[in-house]
This record gives sequence, C-alpha cells and structure tokens, in this order.
Amino acid sequence: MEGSSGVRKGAWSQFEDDLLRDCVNLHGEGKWHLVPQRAGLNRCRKSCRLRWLNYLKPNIKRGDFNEDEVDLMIRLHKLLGNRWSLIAGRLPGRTSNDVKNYWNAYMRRKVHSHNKDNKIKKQETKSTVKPHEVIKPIPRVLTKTSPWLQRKFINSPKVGVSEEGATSSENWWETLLADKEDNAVFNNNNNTCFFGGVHGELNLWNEELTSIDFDFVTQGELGGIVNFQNP
Amino acid sequence: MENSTEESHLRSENSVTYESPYPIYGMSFSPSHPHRLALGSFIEEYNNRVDILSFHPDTLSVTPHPSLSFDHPYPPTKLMFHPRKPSPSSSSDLLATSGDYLRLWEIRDNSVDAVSLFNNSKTSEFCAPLTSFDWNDIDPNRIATSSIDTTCTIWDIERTLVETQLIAHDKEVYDIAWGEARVFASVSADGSVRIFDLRDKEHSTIIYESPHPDTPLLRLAWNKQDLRYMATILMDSNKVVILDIRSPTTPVAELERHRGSVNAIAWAPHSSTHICSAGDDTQALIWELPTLASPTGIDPVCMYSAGCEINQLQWSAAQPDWIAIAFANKMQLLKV
Repeated sequence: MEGSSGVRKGAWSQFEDDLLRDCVNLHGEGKWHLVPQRAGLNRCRKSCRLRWLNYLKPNIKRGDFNEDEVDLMIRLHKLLGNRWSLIAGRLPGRTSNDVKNYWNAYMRRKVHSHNKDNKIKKQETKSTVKPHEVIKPIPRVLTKTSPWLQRKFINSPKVGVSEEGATSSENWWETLLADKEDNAVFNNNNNTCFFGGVHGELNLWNEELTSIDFDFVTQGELGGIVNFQNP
Repeated sequence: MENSTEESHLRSENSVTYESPYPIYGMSFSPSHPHRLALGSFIEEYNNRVDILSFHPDTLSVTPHPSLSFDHPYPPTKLMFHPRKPSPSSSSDLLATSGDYLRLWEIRDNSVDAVSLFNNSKTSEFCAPLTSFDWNDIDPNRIATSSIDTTCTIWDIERTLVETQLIAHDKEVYDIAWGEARVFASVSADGSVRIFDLRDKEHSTIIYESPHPDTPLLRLAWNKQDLRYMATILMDSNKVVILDIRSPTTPVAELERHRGSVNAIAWAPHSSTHICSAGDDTQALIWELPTLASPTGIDPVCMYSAGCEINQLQWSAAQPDWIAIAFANKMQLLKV
C-alpha cells in the first residue's frame, strides 16, 4: 500500500487511527504539519487532518440527518451556497463532508423541483435572470463658484425651437447637436479645461445646461407661466 | 395678499373620501383612464392588496372594482400606471408595482393579469427590496428602480431585461426620478441628490448634500414643467428643499411651514411654480414659488387638514384639479 513517494495512501487502519487519536488527545488540534512525525504516521498532514475532522473527532454525529437538520441545511444553503464548512459549522456534530455528500445525494433534485413549484404557484408568466455588469459612477460635486460653470452659462446660446411638428425627442437631439458645437468652441478657447479636458466629463453638464435653455425658451414662447387658480 | 394662507374648509363639493379595509400607502392616477386610481395596502406582512377605483367628479363619488383587486407580495413601495396609453386600440392599462421585485400587471376590463416579474439577481434565490421606481414618460420602455442595496437599475420593459445597473450611492437609495429620456436623479440615506446620464455611466453629479452629516433624503420630485427645479425632503425634518440644478449644493428655497415631518411632495403637473407637500402635522400644503427669493420665507397658498398623519400624495396629471392624499386607511381626493 505504500505510494511511490513513500507516504501511505488509501484506507486507514485501526492502528493508524489509534496513533492519530492519541496524538491529537495529547497535543490538541492544529499544527497539522507536525502530526505525522509526532504520531509516527507515514501520512501527509492533510490526510491526517481530514481523517480527524471527518471521522475520528469524538462528537461527530453518525446516522441519517433528521428533519430539523435537513430543514436547516436547506435554509443555510440558500444563504451560503455550496460553502459546506460554513453550513456544517451550524449543524452540531455534522462534518462538511457529511453535509456535502447528503446534499449531492438527496437534496439537489428536491430543491430544484421545489423551486419549480414555487414559480408555478406565483403564476408569473415571465421571469428572466441575466448576469450583467454593475457600474459604479464616480460622483462629482460642482460648486456655485465654478469658473467653468459660469463661463459656460454666459456663453451658452439659446437654441431656437420650432413648435410645429417638434417632439420632445427631436428637441433633445437638436440641443445635443448644438451642445457639441458649442463645446468644441469652448475647448478651442481654453486649452486647459477645468476638468482636465476629458470630453466625456464635459458632456454631462453641457447637456444639462442646454436642456435648461431649451425649457426656458419654450416657456417664454408660451407667453409666461400658466397662472395657478385658487379654489 | 398673494402669500396669505387660506384655509380651505373641506365641504362635500371639494373632497371625496374612500375608506379602505386596510392601511394605504401606494397610490397612482392613470393617465390613460382619467377616472382610474390604484391604491396599495400597507400591511407589514407578506399578503397585501392592490385595489383599482373609479373616481366620478360629477357625482363626487369613488367606486371600487373588486374584480380588479389583486394580491401583491409585501406592501407596494410605489405604484405607477403606464405614462401613456399602451396601444390605441386596447382598453387595458399597464400598472407597475415595486416591493420585493418590480412587477408589471395588465388591468383589463374585468380582470388583472400578472405580466412580468423583473429579477436582476445573479441567482434567483436572492432579491434586494426596491424602495421606489419611476416610469420614463419620454421612452416608456424604460423603468428605473431604486433599491436598498445602493443600486439603481434601468429596465427594458419589453424584453424584461436589465439595461443598466449602477451603484448609485454609498447607502440605501430611497427614491428615483427621470428628468429626460436618458437622465435621472436619485436620493439616498447618504444624504445626497445625484444626477446620472446614461450616456456617461462613469460619472454622476452631486447637486445637493443634506446640511447635517448622514441625514437621509427620503423623496425626490423633479419638476416636469421646468427641469431646472427639483424638490427633496429630509428624514425627520419639516423642510421641503427646492433645488436649482444650475446652482448646485445651495437650495434656492426651503419651505418650512409644516409643523411635523414631511412625508410626500408633488409638483403641479400643469404649473412650473406650484408644489404640494404633506406630512405628519396632518396638513397638505400647496406652495407657489416666487420668482425672487423672499427674505421672510414663503407661505403656502392653500392648506388642507386630514384626520391624522398624511403618508402619501399624488397630483393627477389627467385632471390637475384633483390631488389624492392617503392617511391611515383613508384616501381623500381634494379639489384645488
């Protein structure tokens, strides 16, 4: 049974179990790299650790999982996924190996069909799950005294809008084009931009201001604000 | 005389009251069915209801439609009808609701169908509850949702897919509002109002931060008649803060006549200078914003009193003469 590397593999004998148990009882758990030498075992430390944690530890519970344990396992699996050591940590006496084997043998199919039943009961005709990238925008604070803002506002031309046949979308597009032209002029006039010359950064605020001009012009053309009548 | 406060006594010709079997929070007027109103219950458990009512201004009455009432998981945090008629030939209406998920419902003549459930989790087992949403009225294929997981999500309604998800704030996002087809703003427990442009997803712009550190901002209303102006409210504050996006960080006005926390705000759908607010002092106030800042503060032009704290407020766009307020288990329609 000796492996080519000289370390023993395969099933543990009673003699080996006794050596490992005595060693852990004497020196405690941990420092597994010292255990093979201390116990006089021709085993690697990982094998010693797993043998102890999954089999020899005194408080390990044997036998089938009871109803409460299964129920708790299902809920923990929902929370933690396939993190068997975390789930086992909340099931006293159960090892991560036992939890994993039980789940893969009995639970995987059950939970899947359970989810199907839930969805049928909800009677939701459409439900889609799509992985997508979540973007984190970098926030900026513009201050009242921003020279860029003041200059932009002063230079901003009013956008002429024809009321006949114009829709909101078209107006928005027109202001976007006008904004780009103005932005180009602005960049030519100032080599060092307040925001470091990144066009994408300028774009947002420019469009906001142009939109404001658009609304202002529209309001003016309507002959002033609609008067609110008191009841 | 303009700023004098007139108390408008509630007479039978000025108000209609509907008493619901349960507490009410979510409300929405239907733009395509002018007399239709949706109400969501606020019961702190899983089983909740959404009711559809008809309002008759001629006879000053409200009629519930039991066949259009349906179960809803958790209290709906927001209700909103499709901003336009879904299709000219159809008589049905679309209603969106938020709670554990964003859901879409089709309101037919005598029945309600669940159309879509919008789920953006990596695995289908988890959901981050939604605090609010807004339906883009320029591009109705877009709905933006805000969530306690600090994100805002833009949904493609037809394909029921996520178009964009942004980590919008540092803490829970409490409300969201579209300004333009690709521009929206949101408020958060981190105390800031931020504007996002979907054409530049790498940046957002903070246009206001609450004066006291970490005072959450609860609601946001963007003036659709004049996109320069927004209104927001702070937690446990009697102020309505009016913001001009051209003048970041400094409010252009603070309306401070409520004698309790403000719970709801709504701009007039037909006037750019009028806004309504309601709060724990049981009052709904209508304000007219002056063109010049007044040193002595602004007084409301109208005041209504309800029987107890007002939690929700909606100003009908189809019938701008009417405002709906919700308090306890009552919904009251006020003529303005």
